[in-house]
Amino acid sequence: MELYELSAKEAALGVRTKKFSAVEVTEACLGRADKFEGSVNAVITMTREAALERAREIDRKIARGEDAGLLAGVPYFAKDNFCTRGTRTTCSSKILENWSPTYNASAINYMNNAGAVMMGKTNLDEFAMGSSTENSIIGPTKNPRDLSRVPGGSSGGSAAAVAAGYSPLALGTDTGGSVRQPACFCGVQGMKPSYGQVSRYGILAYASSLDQVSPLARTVEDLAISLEVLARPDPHDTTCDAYDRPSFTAALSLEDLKGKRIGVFEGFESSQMDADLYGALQTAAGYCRDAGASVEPMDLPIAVKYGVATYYVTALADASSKLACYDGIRYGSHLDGPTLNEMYVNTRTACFGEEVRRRIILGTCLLTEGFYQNYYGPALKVRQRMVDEFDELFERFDAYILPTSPSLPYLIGMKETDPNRLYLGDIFTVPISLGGLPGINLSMGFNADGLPLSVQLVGQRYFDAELLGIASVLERVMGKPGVAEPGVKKSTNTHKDEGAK
Amino acid sequence: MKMTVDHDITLKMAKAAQLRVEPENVGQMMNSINDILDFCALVGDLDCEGVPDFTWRMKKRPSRRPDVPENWPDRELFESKAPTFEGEFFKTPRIIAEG
Repeated sequence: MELYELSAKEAALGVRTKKFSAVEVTEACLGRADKFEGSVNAVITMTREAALERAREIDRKIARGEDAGLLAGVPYFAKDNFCTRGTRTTCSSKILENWSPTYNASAINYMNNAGAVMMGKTNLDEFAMGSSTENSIIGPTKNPRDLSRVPGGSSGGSAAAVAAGYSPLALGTDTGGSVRQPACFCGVQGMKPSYGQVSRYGILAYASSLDQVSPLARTVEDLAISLEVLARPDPHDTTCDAYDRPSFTAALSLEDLKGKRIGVFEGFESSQMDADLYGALQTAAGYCRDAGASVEPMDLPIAVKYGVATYYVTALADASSKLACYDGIRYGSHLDGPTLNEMYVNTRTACFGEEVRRRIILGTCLLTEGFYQNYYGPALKVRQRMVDEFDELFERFDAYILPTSPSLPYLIGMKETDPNRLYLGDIFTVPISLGGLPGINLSMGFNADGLPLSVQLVGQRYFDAELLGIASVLERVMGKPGVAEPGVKKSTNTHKDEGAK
Repeated sequence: MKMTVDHDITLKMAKAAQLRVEPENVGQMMNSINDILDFCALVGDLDCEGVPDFTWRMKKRPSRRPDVPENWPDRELFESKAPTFEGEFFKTPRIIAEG
């Protein structure tokens, strides 16, 4: 096995026990990125020299016999909406094209403190507004499993980097599915933790009441290790819960699903989604049964019918107020104007992309007199009814499974012109975000065309550890995704065929 | 209740959002906004009589940071991030237009 194929846990163990050095792992991952980045385009800024220096620092620490941390020498990428001190943070937008923050996001500090090595910043849809990673200042990222297709979004660069073996771990943000859907499209594992589990301090927000820092990896165990590092109280974020977290990795000792009650979502027509993904859901239900769980059908009538509309009203209103801070005065790009207002307008019009401008105008509209009473106000109440529906559901179930996406990864450019169709692609992910629930995309293998299949596992809010335990049992049956060979080899039917452990 | 925007409201919203929509693009923007308003009007269809507005519930609210002065990065560092800076101030155009 090559060093770039290791999981984060294997890499950290190897570095700590001096089986290989942090520099060797970092060089292996950098070599992988050098080989495929020309065709994948997942990275906005590669921090090669800083990564190698950081790896050398970890190796020196280990040589001195010091504790180098849970993620000692583990390379990772961060989506380019995490503030990184001294490193360009663009949000894929012209308005922040040359901006480097003066401070780190808390998540970046936590990863650094755990010994991880940041390799660079990954591509995203501008300000995380999109589901395909096509709307970016560096152009679209391509799916490493099939270069003619999108990697999903908005954390498509992070998902592609993990799938292509640039790193075993990456950080993304999930607002309405922005980590789970790209994980699904790229055939890797991705988890949106409960809202309030991880600090959002230093994340350039899209929608503050929904955004959540979310890890991507090729194993469930690496997701659990990531949460062990990331999930903690942070006085800099008042929405980050101060409760004492359980051990996320200890939950992985779950041997089977005996006594667990798993719901299988059946609140849609099978004709509404891709047949292979529908088949994958039924297969996953069978795996749950085989592992000893009691499996029953379930439905979420309010969440499914009203979820996407509620999500867009909420997210767009959040976005329009949050993005008001980009005014061209204190930081970021700037275009002159004869008056202050004209300077604002010139800067924002020229430097925000078309989709971002459209969402800001829509969000502004939703918060004005009349529209507020007919859209934003009702959406707040519908959201509460959705939360009540989830609460009732979790009296009957410990977790439930549903698709992550209704469709397989589509061809680049295919859907960009139809925003309404793009929005409906989020139908299975946004209700989970509105409820603040933890959700995991579990990769299940590939269809006959080599395109990734997966299922979404959802748990009760704050029961992230329990959910990881259930996911680890299912992963033992489904197998772990291997590293893709972009443009070289088609991914095979099951993860076990790929030779992944 | 379903609502729509017309040409003038589209321009008014853009102005409130500190954005410009070129005259040739106003129709397209208006249609796009109306499509989404049409779809999102669904939120008014659910009976929510007596339902409170959504707010996040937390297990334990974070404690406040101590109210003491903190050392932030150098003033010069912040100044260096500003696109236009002069002397000790962020440089801006006149706030009120002449005439």
